[in-house]
Amino acid sequence: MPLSLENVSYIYGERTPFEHRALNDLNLTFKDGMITGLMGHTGSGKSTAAQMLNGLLCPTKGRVLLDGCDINESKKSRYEAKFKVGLVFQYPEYQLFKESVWEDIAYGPRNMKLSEDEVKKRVNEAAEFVGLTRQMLGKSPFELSGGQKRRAAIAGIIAMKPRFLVLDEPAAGLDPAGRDDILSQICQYKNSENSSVIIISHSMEDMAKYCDEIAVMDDGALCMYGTPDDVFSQSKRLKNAGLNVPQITELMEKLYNCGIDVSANVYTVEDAAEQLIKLYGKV
Amino acid sequence: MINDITLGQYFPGDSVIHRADPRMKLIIAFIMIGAVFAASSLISFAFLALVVVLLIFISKISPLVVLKGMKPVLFILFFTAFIQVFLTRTGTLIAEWWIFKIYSDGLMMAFKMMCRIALLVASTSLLLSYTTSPIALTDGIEGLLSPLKKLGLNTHDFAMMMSIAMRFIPTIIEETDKIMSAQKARGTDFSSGGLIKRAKAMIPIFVPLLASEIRRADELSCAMICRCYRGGEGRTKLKELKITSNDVILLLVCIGILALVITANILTTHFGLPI
Ligand SMILES: Nc1ncnc2c1ncn2[C@@H]1O[C@H](COP(=O)(O)OP(=O)(O)O)[C@@H](O)[C@H]1O
Ligand SMILES: [Mg+2]
Repeated sequence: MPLSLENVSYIYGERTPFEHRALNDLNLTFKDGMITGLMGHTGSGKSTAAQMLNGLLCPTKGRVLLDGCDINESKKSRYEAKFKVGLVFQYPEYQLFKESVWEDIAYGPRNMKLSEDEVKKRVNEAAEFVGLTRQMLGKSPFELSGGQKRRAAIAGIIAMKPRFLVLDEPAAGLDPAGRDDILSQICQYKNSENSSVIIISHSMEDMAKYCDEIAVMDDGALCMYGTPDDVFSQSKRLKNAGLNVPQITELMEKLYNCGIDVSANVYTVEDAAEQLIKLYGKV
Repeated sequence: MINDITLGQYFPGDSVIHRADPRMKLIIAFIMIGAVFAASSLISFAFLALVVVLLIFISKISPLVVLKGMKPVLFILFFTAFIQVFLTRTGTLIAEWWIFKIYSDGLMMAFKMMCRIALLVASTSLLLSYTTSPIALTDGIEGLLSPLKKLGLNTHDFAMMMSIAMRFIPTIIEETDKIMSAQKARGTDFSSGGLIKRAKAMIPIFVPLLASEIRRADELSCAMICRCYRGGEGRTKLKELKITSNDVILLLVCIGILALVITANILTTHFGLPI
């Protein structure tokens, strides 16, 4: 049951002096049960594409298909798409509004008209996934730190148990430990709920580490798609799209070009360390 | 939907109207308002409509934008017309239904009232909001208010508050849009249900919006203090406003328009010319 964008174009402010074409005939399919990374330089249309996926924006041209059905078919299908495809916005911490964190996480599930027992169960589960303690759940969202607010906002979407979880730059502006925490919790969520995850980011390192597949966007259209190996082995095309390979890959490529016996296709620090240690043994 | 707001939006350009001194534009706008209210005969409305068309032509603002700007006042437009049609009881009876009676004078007055409101909105937005940047507008207001300084009024603070408020209108619209989208993604339904349900659906927008505006105001004031802002005392301007011959010509044209409208009025009322 994939989620796909079919020849999608989107124009902001159509027929005004501020007209701007953000998506240009985009074709992209997100497979089930995978973590797909969506990369692209700032302004390449990643966030716009994300808002297409749950029916927040309606394509100017083209279709958005979930299980083969157009989600913009009727007002009802458009509304229901929000529960099937959960979207966590960029800087989601500014959307919290309830008197307690617990109530805020429960807001989405309540809108789904679930029973109170089910809501309770889901909220507690979601809070656990993102590592919010019981004590924090009772606080006002405005009392939390930035990172904790971010977790609360993500929990608010996870509690709706969407089949596709879309996260727009979930780690932006967090410290390295916070990034790793949040991303690995999202992985954990995906494995235990058997759902699919789409992560938008321009951190090559995170993408290499967590994603099964990577899609690269450039100027509102798809420019590359494949496994991290496929994508990061084409450093030239990535650079043309305004991106780069992970720093560690750059280092290994340089070593390789100097004639040192390492593979140039290494994308995580762990793999690189392994190779270098092997090499050290040989010397 | 929220992006459709064009009333009070600036479209950058380089026309004679864009370049005119904002103080002069404010004065001209007031004279135009005066002319629109003074107009009473059909010929003067036709003449003012022509002026608006000319303004559109000179400023190179798309007529579509001007029409879209009418959307927010559409309700007022039809409401006043409705009142005029049904409450006027002079002239010849044209139609009658139950307690409603439509008279010729009523129709005429309703038509004129609609013209008046439409011309008012179109001319002021063309002269001010569409063609004057918010900063220039507040400079203009400050300039016009400056005589009040002698009375001990702090016109600089007033102008600064206005310019900050205007500067942040687009930001707040954008932010509202973002928060609305985020809450829609969590299943808030803004478009169905009764009045109470819809009002309740606004809470998830207003709470975060208020919180973030307070935070923004705090940060802005901090940033201003860090850049040594200390009010209007001894502050000089990068761009001094200057009245040019261009501005004087615009003013004279505008006074001419007012004079013509008043002449048309006198001709119709005193000499009974059927125009
Ligand atoms: N609400 C909007 N109105 C007008 N233009 C927009 C709006 N949102 C985004 N854009 C424009 O659309 C393009 C794509 O934006 P976006 O999808 O946010 O890119 P990304 O998330 O990849 O940085 C950008 O050039 C941006 O300026
Ligand atoms: Mg973005």
